[in-house]
Amino acid sequence: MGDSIGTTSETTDAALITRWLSGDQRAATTLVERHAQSVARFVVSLGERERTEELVQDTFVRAFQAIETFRSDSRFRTWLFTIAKRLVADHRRSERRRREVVELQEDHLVVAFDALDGMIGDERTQQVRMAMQGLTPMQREVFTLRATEGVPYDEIAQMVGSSAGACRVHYHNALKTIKERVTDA
Amino acid sequence: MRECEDVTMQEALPTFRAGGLDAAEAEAVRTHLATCDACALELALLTTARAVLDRATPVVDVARITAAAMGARTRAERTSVAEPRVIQLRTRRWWGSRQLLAAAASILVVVSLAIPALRGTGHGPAVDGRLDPMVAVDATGGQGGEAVTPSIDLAGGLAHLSSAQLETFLKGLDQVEATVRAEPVTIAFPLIDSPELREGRPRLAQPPVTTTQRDALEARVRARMAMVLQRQLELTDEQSRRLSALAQRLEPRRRALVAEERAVRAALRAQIAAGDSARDAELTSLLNRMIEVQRARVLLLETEQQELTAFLTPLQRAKYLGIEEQMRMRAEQVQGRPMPGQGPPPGMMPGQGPPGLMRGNPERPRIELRRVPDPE
Repeated sequence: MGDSIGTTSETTDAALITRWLSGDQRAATTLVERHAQSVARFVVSLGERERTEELVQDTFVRAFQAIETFRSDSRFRTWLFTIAKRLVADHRRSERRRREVVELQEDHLVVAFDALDGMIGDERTQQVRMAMQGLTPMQREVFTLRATEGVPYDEIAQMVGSSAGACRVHYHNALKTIKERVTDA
Repeated sequence: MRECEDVTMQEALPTFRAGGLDAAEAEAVRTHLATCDACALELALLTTARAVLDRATPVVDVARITAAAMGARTRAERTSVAEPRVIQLRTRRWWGSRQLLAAAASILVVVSLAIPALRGTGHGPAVDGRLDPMVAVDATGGQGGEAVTPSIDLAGGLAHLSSAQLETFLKGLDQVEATVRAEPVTIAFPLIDSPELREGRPRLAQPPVTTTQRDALEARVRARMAMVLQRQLELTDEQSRRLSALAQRLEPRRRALVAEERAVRAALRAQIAAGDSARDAELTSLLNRMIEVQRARVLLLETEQQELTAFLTPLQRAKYLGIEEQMRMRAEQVQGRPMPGQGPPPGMMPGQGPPGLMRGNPERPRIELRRVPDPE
């Protein structure tokens, strides 16, 4: 069973890029609309919540400037994640400080308080959040990419500089850890 | 609870959750989930994990990001157009004026024959036939609330101005800053006084700059414009802050309108160029869209004025409107475009094409001028 995200019912990213390079500006907008929030989630998962939009914007700036170098044998979204990860690293280097790896603080989670949502699902959400915070950086990155974005292991491997098999192990270890902590809570 | 032994199904869950399976695969997973509590629980956990990140992630401004990314690309294209032709010129001692000396100080001087197009009417830029969206990069970090200095964008953005033009524009603002003027406000912009400019030929410009330099320059211009407004309107810090916030909040809509107008104008131009084969229905539709854009622009102006009433006096609002209009016109002026009542812009013959549809020629070659030592 395939593990890559398909775009069966909509135009593929590669087709959109082709259309954009042919002059269809709306195709570029569609690309941003399709992936900006995913990149933002990834940036947040790396612990850069305060500068999320700036980093997402810089990611697309870099990507669009180098769009001709994008190879359609990998997914556009994964390519964006790779760029975003580099930008986060650059940003951290430039500021000469390393934040805590994940800052999924309480006040970050409740953007718009919903009492009903809070009553029903907040406890479990908090458990999962705490469990994710307890993962190692590698586990968290692999888990985020795989579990929340559906990125295939081979593409995660390229991003984190590891093998697909090792990423599978990281993912399952992360999953096991989260399950244990959620169950124990 | 027993772990699921169907590894294939387990491995498919993240992709299933992300909507990446085809119909048959997805159905197989659903069937499995109906009988496997372990996988159902795991899927719920994955969904919760995604929700955790969703709730921690701010919603990003897609329009702003799109405009910034496309604008940056356009700038990159402009500075990396086919290798410029190099012409060596000898400097002459009659380069006496300070401004010309300043221009000549750069080792590499680029004469850009490609005059970027600006708006046709109102606030919107005209179409130059290429992707030329607004730039939304705010190097002051205004979006994140870190900016202390208020920042005002030129209506429709700064992307239309080359870096040299931005510098010139900035000098004009600096001059205003240095001069306390009585009403009415008059902003004088020291154009680089060159024969080329006076004759409507291409201007001297600075060498290509990096994106970072460009962003910083745009940020300076925005901050300076905010400062000018603050002084001319005699704004309090609170008024200045609110004006800046309002300008930034409305800017995405303004940019979207500009982009829309740009697209409509491009399509109209294509239809007009098609001559007899132009499709009436398409033309009608485009003209209707153009009217809608103009209507939206008026609505935006109305919205802006309404919001300004909350913190500006009528006199300040009137001044703001006037200064905004003046800045926009001066921006055109530094691009070498005629002020109202003057002739057509460089690169466009009188009567060439419908208003706002044929401005400049992006395909023209760039000629690079290198300064060489003056022989003694």
